[in-house]
Amino acid sequence: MIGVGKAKQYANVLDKPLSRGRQEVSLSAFAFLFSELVQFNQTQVDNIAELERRLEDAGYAVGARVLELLCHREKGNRRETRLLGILSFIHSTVWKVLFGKVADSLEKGTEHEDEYMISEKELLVNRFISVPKDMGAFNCGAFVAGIVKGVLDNAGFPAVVTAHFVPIEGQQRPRTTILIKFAEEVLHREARLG
Amino acid sequence: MEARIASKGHLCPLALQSTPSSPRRRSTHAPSPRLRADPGSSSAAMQFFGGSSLTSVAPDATPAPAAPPGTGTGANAQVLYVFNRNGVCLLYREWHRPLRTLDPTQDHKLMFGLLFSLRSFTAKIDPTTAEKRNLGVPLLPGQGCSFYSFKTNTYKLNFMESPSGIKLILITHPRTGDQRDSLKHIYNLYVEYVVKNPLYAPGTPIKCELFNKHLDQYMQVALH
Amino acid sequence: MPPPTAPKSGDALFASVDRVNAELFTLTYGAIVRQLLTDLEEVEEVNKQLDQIRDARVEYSNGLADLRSPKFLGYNIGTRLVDEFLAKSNVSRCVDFKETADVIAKLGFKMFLGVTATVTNWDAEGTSCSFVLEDNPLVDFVELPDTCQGLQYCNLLSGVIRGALEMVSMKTEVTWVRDMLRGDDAYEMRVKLIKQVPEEYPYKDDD
Repeated sequence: MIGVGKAKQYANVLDKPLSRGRQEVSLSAFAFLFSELVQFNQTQVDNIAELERRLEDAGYAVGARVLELLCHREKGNRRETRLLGILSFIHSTVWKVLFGKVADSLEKGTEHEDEYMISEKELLVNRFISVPKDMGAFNCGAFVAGIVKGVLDNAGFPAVVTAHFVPIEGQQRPRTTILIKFAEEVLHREARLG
Repeated sequence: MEARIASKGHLCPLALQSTPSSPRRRSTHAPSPRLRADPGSSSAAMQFFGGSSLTSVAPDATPAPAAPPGTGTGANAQVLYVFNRNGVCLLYREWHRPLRTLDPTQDHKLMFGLLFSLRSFTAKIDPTTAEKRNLGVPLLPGQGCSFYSFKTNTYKLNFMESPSGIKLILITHPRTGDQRDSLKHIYNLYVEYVVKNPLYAPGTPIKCELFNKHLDQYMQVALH
Repeated sequence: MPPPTAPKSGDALFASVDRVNAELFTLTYGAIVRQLLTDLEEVEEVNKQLDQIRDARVEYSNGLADLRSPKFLGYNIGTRLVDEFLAKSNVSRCVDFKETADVIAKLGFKMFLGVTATVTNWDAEGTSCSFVLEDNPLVDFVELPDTCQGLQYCNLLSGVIRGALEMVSMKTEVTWVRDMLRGDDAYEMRVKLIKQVPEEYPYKDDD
């Protein structure tokens, strides 16, 4: 009867105190789980674009919950309403919680008003990866793009979010850039808010 | 069950050296490893060998076959094999190999057979343990003693097997020292950049650029 | 004989590996389960349209469905994760089942999930035992909705154990005895050793 009485039971998950988020698991436990997500989805698709879309879907579900969790825990149930606010929330708070560090950079696209980029030299999901030649520009970062999209969408900032490898001069490994293209309505609202 | 002497069929390369009637003729082409039981004679041979060819060969990095086949120049061979528990050669990589006398598939198969047999033999003749299985009856991983290298006058074979049946074989110059740490390091690289690569399908040949890159880097430092 | 390098302790092992926030892990697992549920539902719709509902469903649930269940995912993970464990823990042999079960409980769970399990309820032959978990990072934020009461949410873990043990030549059956998501007081898995399969020479005589 080991364990009896130690683990407290709650009738409902909502009665359970929300974890403070200090617990950790090994990076490899996550890496193996993520590998399985990729491998399972590989059996469900015919092409790379579809595989990326499915990873993005999985990420979206994570992003939506991360937003809820963090708004409750870190921001006293308040949510960012401005574009730069939500971007910096993702770049720093979300990144720090999920990946243990603030993202390497957050930039505004130079060619398009509605584009922003979050870049990471070595994205967690790409840390152990070698992409075979026949998979072309496939980027597992699609999962992270999905997380970003999940946060943005649910905070009221619909956007198209994609992940890309960008070569860095003098480095063998490219960095990953998460490209965020906001929906028109978001920019209009921003303009109205001034 | 145990009497169903697996050895006949299973102990491929070594066993058949002593059975000329075996249909597997091709294995006679294999460079037969001369296991030295006596460390004294081995080191004497090493000295002789070292004096005669080591210096002239070491700096030569080109794989051109300098000597007639079979004479064994003792060039600085540097070859790595990785097998999984099913005998699939996951990786074959050579940095330096003076001669290629067998086609790759045969080469891999003989190598796996050699290790499989050797493991069985070494456990069988182990003078320190009473518990023994019939020769050729497969062992569980970690069962019986394990060998980690043997030398011939022309090369040294360094070996490591994980309890999960991953076998790493590193062929080096006969004068290289203990390579157990190198093999462990290579196993770690395998875990890091092959096993954790989300796009690697287990049991298939390794084509992970990140692994090869780290492996090459390590080998450059480790063996020079 | 003691191995050349002694295995590390569970805490030392967990401290020595790179770690991530458990929430990333938990939420990702949740996303995977959700994706599986969606896929399976879609397939059932297809089956209905093909008007071979019963047979196709049975076949599906016996064959393919197993491939997609969390148990299968876990099995795959187990077959990979075992090498990570062996490489980092300095455990160099797994011959005895009892010893191996202890290693899994004290080092395995700790190294990957940061929790320890208790090994208990050994049978007389020493071939089956229970792993009891009090803390299970997989289930934070989880409550099974009414429509998924049949879901074995933690099957990932039993699959991992089965897969990892198979790689060290132990064929096992792993079943859940207690599950807190179903109102039990702990998580308990029953692991039964079916047989130990030595490595066979893989090539036929004539190849």
